[in-house]
Amino acid sequence: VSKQQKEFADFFKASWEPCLRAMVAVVGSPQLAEDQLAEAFARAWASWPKVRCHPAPRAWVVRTALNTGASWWRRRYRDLPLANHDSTALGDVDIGLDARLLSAIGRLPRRQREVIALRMFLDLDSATIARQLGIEAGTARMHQSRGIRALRQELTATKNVEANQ
Amino acid sequence: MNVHDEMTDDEVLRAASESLCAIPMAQPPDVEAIMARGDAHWRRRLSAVAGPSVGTAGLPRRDYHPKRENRRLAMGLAAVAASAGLVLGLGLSGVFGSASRQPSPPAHAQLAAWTVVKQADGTVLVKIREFRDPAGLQRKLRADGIPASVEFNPANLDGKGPWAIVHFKGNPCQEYRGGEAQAQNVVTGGSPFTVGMYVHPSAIPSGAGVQFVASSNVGYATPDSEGDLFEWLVQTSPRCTGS
Repeated sequence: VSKQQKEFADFFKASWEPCLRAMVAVVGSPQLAEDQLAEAFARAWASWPKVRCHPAPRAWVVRTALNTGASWWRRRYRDLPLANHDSTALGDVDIGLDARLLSAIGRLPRRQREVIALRMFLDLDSATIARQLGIEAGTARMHQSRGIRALRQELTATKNVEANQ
Repeated sequence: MNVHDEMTDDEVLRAASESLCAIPMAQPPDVEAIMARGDAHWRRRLSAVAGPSVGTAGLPRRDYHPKRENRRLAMGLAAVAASAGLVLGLGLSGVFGSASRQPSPPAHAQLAAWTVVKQADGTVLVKIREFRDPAGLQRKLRADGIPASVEFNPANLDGKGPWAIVHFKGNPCQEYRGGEAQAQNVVTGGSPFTVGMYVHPSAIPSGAGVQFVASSNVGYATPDSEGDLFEWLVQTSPRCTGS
């Protein structure tokens, strides 16, 4: 195993889950998120000399995953609820407050979800998020502010209902 | 005063993050499979630059130059597109040529696990009731003119995600690139355990075959069972599709 291979393997191991959660927050479906993320990590390895020097390699992977699009294979047989994660999508989880928050995230406009996801799971600042998404830093801050405001309203409404019961 | 008036941005984000953590995530795919696919990307990009007659496996990675490669890649893609047009033209000739032949009577193979019925128009209807006897199904599909590979749970794939399923370790097949659009026309229909899948041999691109990979090798394919069946286009080869 070369040094680069080990380096990539370590990066992959440490980054898979936060990147996957960020992807799920944006695309909604864990299955689709996994498909696109796996493809993005493959591309990261193909360009590893560049990606390893990137200031935010996880953000590079997520951005690539978001640009990857649909899978090239088709799932033919799984239109049924299963016990594992593949049946889960944002808003489908019956877990009280979490379900309502997930639903609220799913209702955010796509760009707001992207900004919020990169902030939440990759802990990026607005300037880095803006660079990754190809938008102005001020625009990224605006999306983040609006997204947080919407989520706060959801939290507030939910807690007030619970407090009045 | 509302309960959450005092929540800071960070607190809101933390609450949202925790809500997403409630969703169980799939285990990551094998990193070896990820890297193998990445290496395939690398070889393909170099092939596009250097042309198919030049071996690329030994080229050092440090020769990579993104901007220069992008220019060359654009030229390479243009050449590939021209080639694809030629191949498409040849493919259409083949279809028209075979259309003048009389269709043979439908051939039936009724087995316990699956059913394969060749239609008069050449399409093949596949219904699967159990994920059993993949070798028999593979033989039957090939006999009906489909360069096919069938694998039922080749590497204990239960619970694995889709990427890991089609890229299972030891898969004799390699992805056929550039066939994403055609793949939609190669297999139509619906669920294999109800209406069935229709495989259209005439829609399969030259040099491509179809691989079916199921994540389960036991049990009935009913709405109550667990399992996945994926189809995708693969490169034909003796190991993969038999020829």
